[in-house]
Amino acid sequence: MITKVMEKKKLQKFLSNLCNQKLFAPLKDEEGKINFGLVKDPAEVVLEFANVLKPVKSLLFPQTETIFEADEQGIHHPEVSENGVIFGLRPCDAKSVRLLRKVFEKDYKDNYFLQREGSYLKIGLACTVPGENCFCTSFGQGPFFNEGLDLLLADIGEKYYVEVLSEKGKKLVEENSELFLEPTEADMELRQIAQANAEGKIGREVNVKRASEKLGQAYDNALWDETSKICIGCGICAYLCPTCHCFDMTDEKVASRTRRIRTWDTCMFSYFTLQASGHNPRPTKKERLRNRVYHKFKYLLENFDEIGCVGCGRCLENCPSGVNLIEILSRVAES
Amino acid sequence: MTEYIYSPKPAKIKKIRQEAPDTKSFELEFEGKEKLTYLPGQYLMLSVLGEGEFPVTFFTSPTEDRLEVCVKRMGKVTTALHRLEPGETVWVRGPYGNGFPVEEWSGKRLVLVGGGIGLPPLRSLLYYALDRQKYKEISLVYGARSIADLIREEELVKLRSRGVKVDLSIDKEEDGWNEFVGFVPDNLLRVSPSPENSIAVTCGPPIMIKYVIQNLQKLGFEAGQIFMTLEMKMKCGLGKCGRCNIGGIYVCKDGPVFSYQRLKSLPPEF
Amino acid sequence: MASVEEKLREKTGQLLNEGKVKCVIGYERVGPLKARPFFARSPADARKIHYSLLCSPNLAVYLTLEEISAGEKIGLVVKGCDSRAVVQLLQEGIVDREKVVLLGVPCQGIIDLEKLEDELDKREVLLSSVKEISIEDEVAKVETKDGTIQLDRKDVVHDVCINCQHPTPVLHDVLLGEEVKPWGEENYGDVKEIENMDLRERWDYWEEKFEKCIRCYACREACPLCYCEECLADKTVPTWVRKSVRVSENGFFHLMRTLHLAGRCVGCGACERSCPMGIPLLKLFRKMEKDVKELFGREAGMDVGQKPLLATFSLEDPEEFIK
Repeated sequence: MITKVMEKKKLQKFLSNLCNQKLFAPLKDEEGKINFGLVKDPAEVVLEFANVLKPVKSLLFPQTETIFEADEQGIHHPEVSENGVIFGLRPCDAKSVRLLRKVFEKDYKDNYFLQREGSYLKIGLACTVPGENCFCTSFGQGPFFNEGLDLLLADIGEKYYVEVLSEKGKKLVEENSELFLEPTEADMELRQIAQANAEGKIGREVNVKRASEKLGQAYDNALWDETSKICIGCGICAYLCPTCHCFDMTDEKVASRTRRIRTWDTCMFSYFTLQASGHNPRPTKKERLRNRVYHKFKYLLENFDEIGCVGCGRCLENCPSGVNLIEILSRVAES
Repeated sequence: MTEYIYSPKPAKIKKIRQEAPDTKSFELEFEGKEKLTYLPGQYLMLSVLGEGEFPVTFFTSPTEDRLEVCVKRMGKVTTALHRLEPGETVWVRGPYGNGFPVEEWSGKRLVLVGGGIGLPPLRSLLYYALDRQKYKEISLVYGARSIADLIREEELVKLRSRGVKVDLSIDKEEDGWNEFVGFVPDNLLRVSPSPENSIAVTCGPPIMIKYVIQNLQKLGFEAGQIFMTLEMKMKCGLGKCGRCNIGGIYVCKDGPVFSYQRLKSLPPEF
Repeated sequence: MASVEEKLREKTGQLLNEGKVKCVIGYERVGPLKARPFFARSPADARKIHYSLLCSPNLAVYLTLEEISAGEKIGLVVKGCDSRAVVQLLQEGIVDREKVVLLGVPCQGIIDLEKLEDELDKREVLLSSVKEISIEDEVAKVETKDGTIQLDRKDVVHDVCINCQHPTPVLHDVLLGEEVKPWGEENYGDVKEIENMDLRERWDYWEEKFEKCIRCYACREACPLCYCEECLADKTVPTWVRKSVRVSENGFFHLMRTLHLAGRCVGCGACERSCPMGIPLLKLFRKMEKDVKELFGREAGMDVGQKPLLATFSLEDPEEFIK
């Protein structure tokens, strides 16, 4: 693997160069929330943050996406390449793409996702100070995990340690060669220390493997009734989750045309499985919450060989009712 | 060339027939009279552009010379469909789903049990079996709420002359009805088909399916001999949107045809 | 003297022991700065009941979420605004008064963790070092690992709590604490700020806010008064709000919800607190609240006997639109 370092003072120039290619990076909004946004001024890019609020799926799998438009001439498909750069991806978000890709690739290739995802260059930022709700290490990853990225930057004090992880990443480094230096022994050591420190700071843990295995017998466990009582049935957990990808397809009439759109949907909404006849296979919150946990930790594993969670902690941090996935998994693991 | 997996192709409505008060059948024709290859039990995702899309099983068998679907008016899209006239265009994609395992059933006795709008996939299977002539015996137990709700009653009665045992029923007494009066599961018990070398296929309202399965088991049918085709809210038909799952299987891709044996091992969420 | 929490635990235990209720819906503490709703079903559960300034959700929302009562009697812990939501639900005939035992707790305000963090940042204190917070009159005492800091109450509670006019529950079966009086007059400063903008400014302001909405519907689900089985936003026939997530649809949803809560919203703020994107929803609802006060002299959730505002008319109603 090619490794480099970049002096921190050169970062602004790097970001400035990237701006020419449509750069998405963490930006702070009026409400103080940090999200990926299109960068006009590189000085606005936020570098001190735990994680962006809306995960990277919001760029790769937009909340509202046009599937086609139809008029008298027939069906017209949209362009789906973005050719942009995403900077500031945390390793958990980067890893989430692996599951999304598998789902959209299996049997029928969903080019809306695949082409868009493939057209982005992804630059990650390792978590030197993980968030307090993070538990990525429970999945065999960690705050310095580099999968799914073209470059991974890690803060080692005066510099960023840079791992070049793909041909695209290599090309980008070559195009900006004046901003990169060769790493020294000291740099490499600092990198090791930063990683060890970060991993040590992950405060939450759950035995995912055991929970996943125990799910097979936990279907009738009282915990589903108990934990679902406080759930209010909104879509926060699923919409802010990097791996949740359920969607709806509807038609909109736009003047004399039809636009078929795909929009995020969530199994937590009461009408997700409601049939036109009025029959609902998952009529109460208990069935829906249970299904969500099973889907992420059992069914996705069975169908795509991937767990549907990367341990980012967004769901338990943002749930208005305090539903805690780690607590649920721990109860299953100990059942 | 980029492949767009959610894009339907146009099909002209050649003929519309009123089958029941809120049910119509639509004969569809593709551009250039293209013939679609499909299996009984499979389905199409049918769009009325501007309104939406919904899954509908084939009414006809692939051995027949025309393509028909039969749709009950339930919600937004089906209501819009019912307002269309012959000559107008709908858009379809498919066929999707696993269909009935017709090859495996070669040489067996087929017992088809359905109610109301459950007839279409059974009709498709029935004509397939008749035309392919690879099945020992075919019998149909079918009923509806009233005479008006029976789909294709005349056509089904005519099947008796082709060697199919047809037993029809309506829920309540009505003038002009000489056959069984009562629910389909009860008629099934009266008909009492033999489970020997037989496959039972059922389709209809969930409550009917429940009692039909019970009664089939009373008659000696094993779980592996009982099949059904399930209905679920579907949006993509390709196993991606995550909506139609029963446990770890997707009804759109791994179904909609399931044996009771398989269904028993899944969570009761259908 | 027993604290409110101790009294609440005792009362909960008593109700459950005597089999008077199937469960008591209250709060439990799950972290130094976090509390969440809790369904206590046994005397052992009663010991976990918690009450503090962290008790943010409006528990009245559980009265209309499925399968809760199913005819059973339950206990419900209510703060000032929560009790008004219950009164409003009673006005609308949604709740059976006989089936709910209201455990009233007077409220000093709900802590706004973002505001608290800002204040602590100024003093170079970490939010994670906070152990306890309490309020007395206008002063908030923040106990940290390294000592106690005194802050202005206004700087640590949610904006909507600063001039709350009903901190003491207006309806209860038992009041488990001393009555709390309002701290000041309601001046609707946040609403006037928007009213003073010209139309263009207002449009730009709300366009920017509605752009952020991800249609998670947490605001709707957290609201005790949003209990329609089929929300107009989810109806497909006819389609009032499209599924696409963009300013037009988001804005329509929020404005529609505001109008549907006219004369019904009790200003608890659960909606704004549940919004993950930080959209200032309360401004919309408080504008509605202010207009309703000015036009009809009405306040939601105060008198069970009152008929719902928009379901009645009086000959004295203003008619400025008829010129």
